[in-house]
Amino acid sequence: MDFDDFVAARGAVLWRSAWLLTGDRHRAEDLVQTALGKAWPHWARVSTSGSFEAYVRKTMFTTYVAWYRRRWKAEVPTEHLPEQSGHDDAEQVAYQRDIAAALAQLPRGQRAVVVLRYFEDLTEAQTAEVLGCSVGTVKSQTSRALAALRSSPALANPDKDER
Amino acid sequence: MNDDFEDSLRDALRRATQAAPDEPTRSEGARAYAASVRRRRTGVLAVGAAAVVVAAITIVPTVLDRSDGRGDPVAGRPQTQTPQQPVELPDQPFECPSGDGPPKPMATPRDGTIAPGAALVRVCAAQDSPVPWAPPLDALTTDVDKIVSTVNGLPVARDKMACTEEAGPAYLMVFQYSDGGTVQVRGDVYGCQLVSFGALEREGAGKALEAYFDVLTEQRSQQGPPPAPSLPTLSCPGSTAMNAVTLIPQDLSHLTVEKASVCSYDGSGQSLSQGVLSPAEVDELSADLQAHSTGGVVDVPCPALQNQTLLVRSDYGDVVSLQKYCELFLVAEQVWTPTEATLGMLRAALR
Repeated sequence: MDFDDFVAARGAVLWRSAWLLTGDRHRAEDLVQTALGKAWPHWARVSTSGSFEAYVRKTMFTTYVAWYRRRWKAEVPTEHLPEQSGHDDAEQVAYQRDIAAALAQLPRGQRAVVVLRYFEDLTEAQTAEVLGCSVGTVKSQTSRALAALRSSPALANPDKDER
Repeated sequence: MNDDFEDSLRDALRRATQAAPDEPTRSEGARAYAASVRRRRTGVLAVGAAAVVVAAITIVPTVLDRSDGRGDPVAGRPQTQTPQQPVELPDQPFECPSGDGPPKPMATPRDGTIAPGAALVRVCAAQDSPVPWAPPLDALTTDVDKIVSTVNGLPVARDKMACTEEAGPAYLMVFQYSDGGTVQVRGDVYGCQLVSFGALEREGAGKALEAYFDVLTEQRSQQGPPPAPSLPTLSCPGSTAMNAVTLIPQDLSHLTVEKASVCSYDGSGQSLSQGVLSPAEVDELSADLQAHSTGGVVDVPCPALQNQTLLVRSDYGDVVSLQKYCELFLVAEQVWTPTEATLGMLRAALR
């Protein structure tokens, strides 16, 4: 597998996490390409150990956390959420907007922790490793994030939009 | 902890991301990004030792020629195509003049173009800035030509412009070359947003400053903060009019505070009292800021305005000025909601 094959196979997976981080499809693409661009020079070295995806993921999350508010200060969900392939019904778009809005209320570090823990299904230790922080920080960030998300209408009543 | 809410959160995140767009140019975009970074950072190193020699022969005379700010720049040459050679820092890197000293006379680029090849660029507060602000303490020594390109690419000011007359901060952007020579431009982050190159003016002072801060952010992420003891202490200005506005982008939820002072003012804005927080109190404050800050603006009226400012210095030396608004502190579309304990600590510091 070369770099292009990797991007073709795993790009969409990375993009989904990036969308949860940014709440905007264009910023998500920007984040994914930036992370891939930072990781690409290390492809030959890292890919042989089979850990290139983890390398890109770590790059993507740390890039997201380090990126300044100025650059992404309009960090709000937009009307144009992820394009749907053939079934972009209004209900799904509204649901995505609600989730993006719920995540948008979190500080960037908490948001990264939530995506790693509950979307990527990483353990606390793995999450700490990706973000370069302690397990204690992951625990406290998770706790604060969950407390905030519990009060979010879209998440407090998850069945609201069930079809 | 693993409860129903966590399970429903997992489901919700998955459901919200069912479809990802097909982006056939993703790997090309990644390569382009990597190439642009490599071009900016290592320049001629990538093309081999022979090319380094050739580039040195052609670039060094240009640098020397520009050291007095009067040489012929690279008019007509696409600057983004010019590989930036790793540039040796001058023996005496430029420092911003202190507030009391007279401004050091510096050349301005006569024809409105900054020559490439500068070793560092630094922004300082213009001494006649209508509004005070605290510039970064660190100079930019990486990707300097990116700033050169941005400034050179700003449009020349139109002849007839209608400008607002509000006051705002003004800066000097000083480019220094390896031989110590400097050239400066001045930017007004208000009115017509003019960048002055002596006789010529361009539009986009805010854009140039924003580009500077973007590259500085990247440089900081690579180099890390300076040793904390080297950071200057903070003292409250004598009046609110002298309070520096915060221009350097800050994310309070990731801000590490090294020093802090709380300042109170009377109804006319004159200083009443100030308190300097101890290192232990600064740690407490830092943790509270990170934990309880969010983006956004407050649209709730505050009936009992308190004229209080919290000045903090970050681990990078930036000064951030937070205005108290009832039980909140505000800065640049961010809101910090301190705990009762922190509010009590700030009250005690003022006594």
